[in-house]
Amino acid sequence: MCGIGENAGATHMSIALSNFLSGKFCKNTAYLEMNASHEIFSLSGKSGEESTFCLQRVDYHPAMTISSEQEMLSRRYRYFVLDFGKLNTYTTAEFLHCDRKLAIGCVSPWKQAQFQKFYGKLSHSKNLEKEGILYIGNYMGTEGDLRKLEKRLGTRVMPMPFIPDPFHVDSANFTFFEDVLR
Amino acid sequence: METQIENKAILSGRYELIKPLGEGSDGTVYLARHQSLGQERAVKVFPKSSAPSLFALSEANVLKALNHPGIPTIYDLEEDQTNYYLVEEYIRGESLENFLLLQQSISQELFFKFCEQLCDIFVYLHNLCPSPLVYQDLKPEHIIVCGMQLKLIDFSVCAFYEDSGDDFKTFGNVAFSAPELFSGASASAAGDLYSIGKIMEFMIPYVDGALPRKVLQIIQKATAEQPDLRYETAEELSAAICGADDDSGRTHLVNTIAVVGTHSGCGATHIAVSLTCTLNALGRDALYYEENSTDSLRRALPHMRHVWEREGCYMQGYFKGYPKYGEGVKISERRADISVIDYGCNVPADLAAADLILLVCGGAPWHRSIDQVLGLFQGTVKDRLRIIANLCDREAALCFAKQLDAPVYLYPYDTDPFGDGDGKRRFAEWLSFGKRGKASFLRTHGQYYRKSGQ
Repeated sequence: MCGIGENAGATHMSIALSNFLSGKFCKNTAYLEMNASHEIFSLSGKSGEESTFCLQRVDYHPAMTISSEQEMLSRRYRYFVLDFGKLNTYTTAEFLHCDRKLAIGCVSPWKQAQFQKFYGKLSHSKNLEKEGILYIGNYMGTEGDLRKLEKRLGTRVMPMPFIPDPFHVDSANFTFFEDVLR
Repeated sequence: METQIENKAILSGRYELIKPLGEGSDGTVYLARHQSLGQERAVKVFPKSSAPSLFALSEANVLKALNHPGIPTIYDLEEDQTNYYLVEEYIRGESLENFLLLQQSISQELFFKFCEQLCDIFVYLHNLCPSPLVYQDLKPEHIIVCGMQLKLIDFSVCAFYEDSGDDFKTFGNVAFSAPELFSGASASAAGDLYSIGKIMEFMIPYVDGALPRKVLQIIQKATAEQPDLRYETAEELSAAICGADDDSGRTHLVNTIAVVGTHSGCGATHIAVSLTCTLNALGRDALYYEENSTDSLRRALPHMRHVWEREGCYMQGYFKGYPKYGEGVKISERRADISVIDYGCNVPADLAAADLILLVCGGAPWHRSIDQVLGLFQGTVKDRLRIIANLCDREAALCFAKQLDAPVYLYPYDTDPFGDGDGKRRFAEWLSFGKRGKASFLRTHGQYYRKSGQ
């Protein structure tokens, strides 16, 4: 998962997705904080050095680096959700290596330029894995804005439903997550 | 786009076409499976060369914008040089007409539930933004009964209604469509409301017992010859139906049934699943909830045939229910008449919310002493307690009856919890879920023992 621009909702969506995978399929799920924000550890309720913690059967791994990520991926989890936040030069390649690549952004008219810039940048990438990125419009912006953006980009943008609590994903939103994972 | 692999056509690299489901004048419908998700889909194949392909595109464009439990989900519209492929939710069920013929009679609860569901769909369609949608072709064969949920199919002739719709083409069918459609008038929401009234009229002969007079008045108004004499909106019609439902005098004595077992393997899950199916077969809307840690439902799924899922609820035949999900998900508020909650052998601390508690006992002789659980069922809880003797004989049932002061029912031997049968219906009647929903605790249906009795 990556965010198109700042505060696009990548972490919110990543947590929701982790809880969906763990809650619906009851399989070991790991959330990896790959975005250097150091925000996730505050959920643990602990202080001191950042370390792995578990919430509702999801293991949260804060402050991961690319090298620690490699080691983590060899562990026995059924699902790994990697929250890259806003991509940089180093994390772009890791993002493109993922089985399912999700890019979330805001479709409001004044934010669409960011979307276009992100899309354009990846379009020119020589990495063939740039294909298969699913673009998601977060809940800000109208359906009309989303359709306009789709037209501008020439690619599908999936609307994300409003999910107020990413730690308790409502079953009414299962279809959205299943579509995302297709 | 279509490639052949081992004699099974693969569509778009994702959908395996399994078998044809039906053939119509406009194309063929196939059952398909999403290869990654393993979920079933219906794929409608329309040759590009045929005129109905325009209807296919029209239907696809309409459906992809819609999101309602009563309307099939459209997943993809693909095409190659020769065909269009419309990939939709696979609807398992039968047409309303066939359902009523098979059931022969339905309860008043189910009648009202169907009417309310139908109105709910049209409230949604007629309030779409930016343009409301007029369906135009409502008839029993376009309504599919899936479990206890109605689904509307075939949107090929509907269209978005514009205020200045002079060039709005009208369609319809003689029996259920508003008369003004056939005299050249433009399609309108009033026409759909007329059709809902005709559907209600169609169902009435199958309803058990006498419906409130108000229902007939509602139908008369909905099917008035003049459009401006009908209900103005689907909301208004829905409110009228709900009002008639509230006034019908039917009492809903039991909404929540807790099923608890005295020990692992006694059959609590089997009975909970079975009861859910039987209640739905009787026209009561029942939903199963797994509230134990056995994960039985999820483990059973790979062995069950023709299962489908929507928003986390699994359905097969008369069964519908939720497995135990992890903490990270919560089940949407779901309206069901009766919730059957399977606690397994974990007696919950608080049974106050349960209207009925089924304690499943039975099995081997060393399981016949149930003193350890009796203490949990005292006071007001005991009034709601029913003992089910399962996987044991009459002698064991008598043994339970002697220990307890509550009705004991010897459950018939049953190999298929998802099946229906006379024995199970008698059991449901014993629990006071007879056709008219009246209390019948003094009945001696099935095998019923009392401590002071036999």
